[in-house]
Amino acid sequence: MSRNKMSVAVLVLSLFVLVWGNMGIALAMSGQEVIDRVKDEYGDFKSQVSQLNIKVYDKERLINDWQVTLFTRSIDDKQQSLLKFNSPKDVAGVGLLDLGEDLMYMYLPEFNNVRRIAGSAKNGSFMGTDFTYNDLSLINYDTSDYDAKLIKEDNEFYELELCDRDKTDSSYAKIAMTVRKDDWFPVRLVFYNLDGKKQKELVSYDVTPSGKYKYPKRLVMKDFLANHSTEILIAEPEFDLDLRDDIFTTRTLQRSKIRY
Amino acid sequence: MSLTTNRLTIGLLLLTLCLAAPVAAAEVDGQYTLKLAVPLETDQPIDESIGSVGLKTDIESDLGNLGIWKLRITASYDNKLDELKDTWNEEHTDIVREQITMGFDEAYVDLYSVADSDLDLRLGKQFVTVGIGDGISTLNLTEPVQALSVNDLSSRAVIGVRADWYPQDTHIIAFVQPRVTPTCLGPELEASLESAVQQELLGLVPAGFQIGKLDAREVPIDYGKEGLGYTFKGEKLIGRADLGLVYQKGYVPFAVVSDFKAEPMGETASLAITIDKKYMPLQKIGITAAGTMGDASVWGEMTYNIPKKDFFASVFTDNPALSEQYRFSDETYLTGMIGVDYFLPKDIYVNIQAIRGFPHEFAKSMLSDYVIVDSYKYFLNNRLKVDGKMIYCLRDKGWVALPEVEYQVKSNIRVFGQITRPGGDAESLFGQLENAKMVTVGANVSF
Repeated sequence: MSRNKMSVAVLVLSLFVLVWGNMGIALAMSGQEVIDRVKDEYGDFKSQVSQLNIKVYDKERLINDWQVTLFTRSIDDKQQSLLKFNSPKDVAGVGLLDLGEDLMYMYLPEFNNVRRIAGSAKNGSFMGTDFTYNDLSLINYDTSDYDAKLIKEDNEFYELELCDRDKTDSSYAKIAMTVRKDDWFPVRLVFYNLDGKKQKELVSYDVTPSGKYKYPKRLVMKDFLANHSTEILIAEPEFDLDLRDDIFTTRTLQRSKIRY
Repeated sequence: MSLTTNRLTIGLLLLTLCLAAPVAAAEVDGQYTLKLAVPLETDQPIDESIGSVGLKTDIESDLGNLGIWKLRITASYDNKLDELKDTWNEEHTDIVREQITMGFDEAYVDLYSVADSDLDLRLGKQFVTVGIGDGISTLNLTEPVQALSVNDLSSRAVIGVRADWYPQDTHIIAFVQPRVTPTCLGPELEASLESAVQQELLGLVPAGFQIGKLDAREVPIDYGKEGLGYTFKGEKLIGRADLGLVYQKGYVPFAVVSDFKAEPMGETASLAITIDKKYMPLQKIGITAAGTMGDASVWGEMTYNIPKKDFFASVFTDNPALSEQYRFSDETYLTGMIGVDYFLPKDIYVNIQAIRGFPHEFAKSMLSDYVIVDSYKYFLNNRLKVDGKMIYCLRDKGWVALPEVEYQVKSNIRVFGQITRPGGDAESLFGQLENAKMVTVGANVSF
C-alpha cells in the first residue's frame, strides 16, 4: 500500500472512530431516559385495579395483615387513586382518595366523615407501614416528582440517583434506584434520609407478565433504622379497565363495597 | 331503643330485603372491650371501680347490585366491683341478665344509584354527620351525644331516611328524621347535671318559702304541631376549598327546662314547684368550609341558631335570681368553630379546634368558648400510641385533660390506659366533675 493510501486509511479510520465514539456516547442513556423507559414498561397503563395483601412486620414478627383494593388511573396528565381497606375489622372501610394536585381525602368509618388531608401528612407513615403517602406513588412507577441522574451502569444494571424536585417537601436526601437492563425492571430503591444515612430499601420480586404489561408479585420495604418491614403481595392486576369517573369521588370512598 | 322503634327498624329492613335480589352471605365481625375504671376521689377505689364488658358485632351483606344492609349490635354489662360481688352471690342469673344492655347501634339499608341515577338512599338507624369538626360540631341536631362518662363520649345513631344526590360535581344531602333520638348520659353524669340545674332553679323560690312538693315532668313532643326533623346540605369543591351550606330543623336532643311554676300550698309557707322540661324546637343555618393551607388541613363552620319563639317561660329571661347561664331566652345566636391539624417533624400529629357552643349549650346565655387540643405520636415501630387531649373553657376556666396510651399487642389486640382529669374552679362545668377523676385500663379484641 502506498504512503498516500495509508494516510487516507488512517484518516478514514480516525474519522470513523471519532464518529462511532460519539455515537457510542450518544447511545448511553441519561438517568431521565432510564426512568422514562421504566415508566413506559411498567407504569404506562391507563388504569389499574389491584388486590393487595399488606403485611407489616416489627423485628420479623407479623403485626398487621391487611387486604386492600387499589384503583389507579391516569387522566389529563394526573394520576388519581383510591385505596380501600377491606379487612381486618379494625381497618375495614378506611379509604384514601388522591385526586392529584395535592387534593387528598381520607375516610375513617368511626368518624362517619370524609377529611381533607394536607401536604404535611404525605411525608408521614401510611397507616403505620414503612411507606409514606409519597412513597406509595413509587409503587406505580410514578417518578414524575423526581429528577434522575445516571450514576453508573454495568452489563446488568443501571444505577440511578433520584432527587425530589420539591426540595422543601422531601423526606429523603436522595433515592438510589437499580434498574435491570434486560427488562427495565426497577429491582431496588434505597432511600437515604436527610442526614444522608441509608434509611429504607424497597425490593421488588417476581416480575410477571400480564397481557402487554408486567408487574412485581412481591414488594418488600425494609426500614433499617427501625428494624421494621412491610411486604406487599400483589394479585394479578386488571389493567386498562374503563373505570368510571364516579369511582374517584368521596361518594365511592365512603362505600364499603366498590363495584367497577 | 323503644319496642316500637325496634319493630319499625326491623320491619323496614325486612321489607327491603324481601324486595331485593338474592342476599349474599353476610360478613360478621366485631370487637370485644374489657374496661376497668378506677375512681381517684374516693376512699374505696377498688369497690367503687366500674368494670365493663362490651361486645360490638357488625353484620353486613350485599343486596346484589342494589346496595348493602348493615346491622351493628352492641351489648354491654357495667357494674361497680362491690355490687358485682353481691351479684355473684345471687341464686340465679336473672339479675345479671337484667343489667345487660343490648341494642342496635346501627340498622340500615343502603340503596346505591337508585333507578340508575346519581341518587343513593340510606334507610334506618344511622349516623348522620353534616358538620365538619373532628368529633364535635355546631351543626349537630342529628348527632345526639352518648356520654356514659366524661371520658366516654360519642354520637348516637338516629333513625330516618337519608338521600345523597350527586348532580355533576355537587353533593346534596337530605335527611328526614321522624322521631328524636335523645342524648344518653351515664347515670352519674346525668344525676350530676340534674342536681346542678335543680340547685340553680331553687334560686327562683321566693325568700321565706320552702318547697312543699317538687314535680319535674317531661312534656312529650307534639310532632303534629312542631313537625318532623330534617336536614339539608349542599357541598361543592370551589377552587381548593370544600364549601357547604346547611339547614337543619329539629329539636335539641335532650329535654330542657322550659317553665318553672311555684304555687302556694294552702296557707302554709310551702310551695308546690312544677318544672317543665321539653325538647326545644331549633333551626340551624350554617356554612362549612374545609381545605388546606400550605401543609396544614383547615376547617370551619358558622351556624346561625333560631330557637322556637316563646319556648322559655318569661321567669327565666333576664332574671337576676338566676346566674347568667340560666337566663334562657329565645334570642337567636351564632355558634361556630375553626380547626387546624398538622404533622410536625418526627411524625407528631397536632389538632387544634376552637369552638363556640358545645352541644349542651342550647340558649344564648349559655354559650361558652372552648379550645380542644389533641396530639399524638407513635413509638416502638407504630405499636405504641401516646395521645394527649385537653379541653379548656375560656368562659369559666374549667378544663379536662385526657392523656392516653394504647399498645398493639397483636394485630387484633390492643390494650390501653387513660387518665381522666377534670379541673378548674368548683363553679365551672368541668370543675363540678372533680369526682370524675379516674384511671381507665382496658383491652380491645377484634374478630
